[in-house]
Amino acid sequence: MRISTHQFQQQGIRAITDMEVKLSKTQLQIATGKRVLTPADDPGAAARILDLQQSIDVTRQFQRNGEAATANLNLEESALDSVTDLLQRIRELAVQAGTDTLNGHDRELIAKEVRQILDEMLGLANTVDAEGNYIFAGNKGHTKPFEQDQSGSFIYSGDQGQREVQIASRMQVSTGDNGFEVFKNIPESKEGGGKRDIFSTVYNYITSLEADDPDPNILKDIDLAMDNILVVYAKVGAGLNAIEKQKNVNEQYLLHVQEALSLVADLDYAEAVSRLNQQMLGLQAAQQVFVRVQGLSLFNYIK
Amino acid sequence: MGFSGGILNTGVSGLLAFQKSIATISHNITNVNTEGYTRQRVELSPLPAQSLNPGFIGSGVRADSIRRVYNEFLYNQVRTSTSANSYSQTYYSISANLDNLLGDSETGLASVLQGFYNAIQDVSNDPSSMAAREVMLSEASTLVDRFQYMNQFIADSRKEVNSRIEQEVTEINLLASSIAQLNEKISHTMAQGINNPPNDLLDQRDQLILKLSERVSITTVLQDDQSLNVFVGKGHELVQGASSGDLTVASNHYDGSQFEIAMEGGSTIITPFITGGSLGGLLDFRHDVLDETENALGRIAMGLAQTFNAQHRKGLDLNGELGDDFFTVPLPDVLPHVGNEVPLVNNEGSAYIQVTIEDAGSITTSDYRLSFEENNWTLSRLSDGTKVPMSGGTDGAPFVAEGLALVIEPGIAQDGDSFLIRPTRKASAKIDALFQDPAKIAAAGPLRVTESENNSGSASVTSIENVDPENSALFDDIVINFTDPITFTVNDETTPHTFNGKYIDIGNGWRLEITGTPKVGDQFTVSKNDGAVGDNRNSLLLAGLFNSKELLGGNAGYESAYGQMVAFVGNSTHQADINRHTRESLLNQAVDAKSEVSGVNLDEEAANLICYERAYQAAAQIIETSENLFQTLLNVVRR
Repeated sequence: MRISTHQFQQQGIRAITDMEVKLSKTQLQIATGKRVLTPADDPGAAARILDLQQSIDVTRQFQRNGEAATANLNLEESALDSVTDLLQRIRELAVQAGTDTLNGHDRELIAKEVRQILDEMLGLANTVDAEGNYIFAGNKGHTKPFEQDQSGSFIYSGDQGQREVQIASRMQVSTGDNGFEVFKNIPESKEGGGKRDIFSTVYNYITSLEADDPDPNILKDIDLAMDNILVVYAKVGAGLNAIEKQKNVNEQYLLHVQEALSLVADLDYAEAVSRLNQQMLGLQAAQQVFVRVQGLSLFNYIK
Repeated sequence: MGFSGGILNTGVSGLLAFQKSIATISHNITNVNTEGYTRQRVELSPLPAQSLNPGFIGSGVRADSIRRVYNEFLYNQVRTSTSANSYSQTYYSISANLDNLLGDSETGLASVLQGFYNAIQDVSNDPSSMAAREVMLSEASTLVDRFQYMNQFIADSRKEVNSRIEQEVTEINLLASSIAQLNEKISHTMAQGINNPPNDLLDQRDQLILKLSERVSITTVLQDDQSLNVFVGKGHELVQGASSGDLTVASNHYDGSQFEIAMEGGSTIITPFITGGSLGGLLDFRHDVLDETENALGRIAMGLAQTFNAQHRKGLDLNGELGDDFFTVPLPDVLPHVGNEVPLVNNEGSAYIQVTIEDAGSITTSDYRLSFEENNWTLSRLSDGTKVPMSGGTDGAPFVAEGLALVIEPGIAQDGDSFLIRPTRKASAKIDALFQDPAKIAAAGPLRVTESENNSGSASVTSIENVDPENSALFDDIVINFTDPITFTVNDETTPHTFNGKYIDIGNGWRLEITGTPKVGDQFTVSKNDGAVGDNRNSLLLAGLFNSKELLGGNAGYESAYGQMVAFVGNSTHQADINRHTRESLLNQAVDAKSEVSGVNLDEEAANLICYERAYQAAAQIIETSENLFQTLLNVVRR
C-alpha cells in the first residue's frame, strides 16, 4: 500500500470541504428555522407542507366566512326581535280594541298607533345591512323587498332564494332568510283561507278599526305571524349556534394542523445546535490535522 | 577487453544508469503536483556478461527504458467515473435551481392559488360587493402572472441548457482535435523506437481524454501504432488516429428552438445516444425534468382554465348574462416535421391538423408524435413509446385519445409526414385572465325557482342546477303544475310528465331538485334569475372546484396537482443529489486507486534519491578503484 503525496493532500482537503458543506447547511437551517429548505431536502415533506399550509389557509377562510354570516344573522336576529315586539304591541292594542267599552274615537286612536307600528314593521322588513343590501330580499339585495302599491296591496319584490356560505369543507350555512319566508308565507286563521303577508293582515285590521268594526280573527292571525317569526328566529339561532360550534371545531383543527406543520417543516433547534457544535468540532479537528500532517516530509531530514 | 578496462566500463555504465534514475526521480519530484502526471521509473537490467575462465563476469548495468507506472484498468475506472460524476453534478446543479424556485413560497404557485380561492370565497360572502369582485379579478391576474413567471423561469432554464450545450460541443470538438494531434505525435514517436514510450505525451493524452470524459461518455480503442480512437454515443467516431470528427449543434426537426447534437455536418442527430458527462446531464435534465415540469405546470394551467371556465359559463353575472370564459384555454402545440409534404396550415389558411382538449382530466404530461405511414395515421406517446391506436380523425368524428381530440383534414398527407404534439407545454405561458369588468364575474346561479304561495304540499326546492348553459331554452319561463304527487304538466300544455320524486328535467338545460311531496295544484315557476345581486350559488361552485378532484385523471384538484409537481421536482433533485454524492465518492475512490499506483510520493522519491545518490557514489568509487588498479600496474612496470 502506498499513497501519493498529492492524494494525501487532496484527502485532507476533501475532509475539510465535506465538513464545510454540512456546516453551511446546518447554519442555513438554524438561520431560517426551517428543516426543509427546498423540496429536494425531503420531497414527501415538501408536498405535505403545501397540503397542510393549504388546509390552514382554507380553514382561516372558513372562519372569515363564518364571521360574515354571523354578522348577517345578528342583524336579522335584532330585526326579528323588534318585529316580535311590535306584533306583541299590536296584540295588546287588539285586545284593548276588542273591549266593548271603547267607542269609535278610541278605536281611531288605536288605529293610528297600529298604522305607525305597521310603518315601523315595514321599515324593519326593508332593513339594509352595512353594505346597503336589503336583508329580507332573498338574493335580490339591491331590490326593496316590501312596498305598498296604489291599491293598498303589499308587493314582495325579493325572491325566494337565500345565500349560503361555506364554513367547513362539507358545511354551508344560511346567511339569513328571505322576506317570503319571514313575512309573506303565513297561513290565514280563517277556515279555508290561503296564505297572507303580515302587512296585509295588519293593514286590513286597521281598516276594520277605522270602520269601528275590529276584525275578530286578528288575535289568531297575529299569533300565527308570531309563530312564523318564532320558527325563523329559531332557525337563526340554530344557524348562529352551528357557526359558533364550527368556529371552535375549526380553531381546534387549526391548532392541530399548525402543530403537524411545525412538526414537518420546523427545525428542531436543540438537535440542530448540537449538530452544529459537532460539525464545528469536526471541522476544527480536520483543519488541525491537515496543517500538522502536511508538514511531514522526509526531505526535512536530508541535509 | 582487458580486465581493468572492464571494471572502468562497468563503473561508467553505473554512473550513466544512476544519472538517468536520478534525473527521472527529479522529474517525478518536480511533477508532484502536476495534474494527470504518472510517476516514471527507469528500468535497469544487467549488461551481458563475458565468458571468462572460470565463469561469466557481468559488465555493468543498462537503463532499458523509462516507463510510466501505470495500470490501464485503474485509469479506465477513473475515466468512466469522471463521466458519471460530471453527469450527476451538472444534472443536480441545474435541477437545484428549479427546486429552489418551487420551494420558495414567494415564487411558487401555492400561495397565489390560495389567494384566488380566498377571493372567490369573499365574493361568495358578499356577491354584490364590487370591492370583493375587484379583488377576485386582481387575484386571478396575479395567478396568471405567476403561471407566466414560472414558465419564464423554465424558458430561461431552457435557454441556459441550449447555450451550455453549445459550449460543451465547442469544448468537445477542441479536445477531440487536440487528442488527434497528440495521436499523431505519439504514433510518430513510437515508430522511431518501440522501447521508448513518450511518457509525457501519453500523460497529456490521458489527461485530455479525462477532460473529454467530463463532458461526455466516450469509449476508446487503442490502435497498433499507439494512437487512440475515440467514440461517442453509439459508436460515432469522434477521433480516428490523427483526424477528428465534428459534433455540431442542430435544430430539432420539429421544434427549431430545441438544440440537438448532430454529426457529419448536422445530418445525423445523435442526441438520444449521448450519455454521461455534463452534456449527457444537460440533455437528460432537459428531457426528464424540464420538459416534464413544464408539461405538468401547463397541465395545471390548462385544467384550471378549462374547468373554471366551464363552471363560470354556467353562472349569471351582474348584467344578467351567462358568464363568459374567465381564462383563455391554451391549445396544444402542433409542430410539423421539417420537410413534411404538407404544411401545418392548408391553402385556405385553416389548420390542417387541429388538436383540442377533450377532457382536461385525462391529459398526460407526455408529448406525442403523429405520423402518416402506409396511408395510416399513428399516434405514439413519447414518454414510453407506446402506440395509441387511432381511427377517424375527421371533423365529424375526431379522434379522441388521452384527453385530446384530433381533427385531420383527409387525403393530403404523404407517407413519412409527421407532427409533434405537445398538449400542455406552453399552456402556462399562454393562460390569461380575460376580462377586467368585475360585474362580469358570474357569481349567481342563472335560474330562480319560485314556489307559489298557495302551495299546500310539503314539496320544497332543494336546488336548480344548470346542466347545459348552451341550451337555447334555458331562460324560458316555465311553470310546473302538479296534477298529482307524481305527475306534472308544463305551462299550458296538457302532456303529463312523471315526477320521479326527486328531479325534474324537461330538457331546457336545467335540472330541478325537489324534496318532499307535492300536492295537486302545487306550482313551481322557473325563470331567469334577474336582479339577484346577492346570489352566490355559482361562486360557491367555483370555490368548490378547488376541492374537487377533476385533474390528473380525477385524482387531484388544482392545489394537489401542483403539490405533485413540486414533489416530482423535489424527488428528481433529491435523487440527483444522492447520485451526485455516490458518484463523487466513486470517482474519489477510483482516483485514489489510480493514484496509489501512479502518483508521486515525495517520501518515496526522497528515499530513492538517497538510494541512487549512494549508488552513484559507489559507481564513481568503482572508477577510482579501476584507476588505482591501473596505477598499481603502471608502477610495477616502471620499476
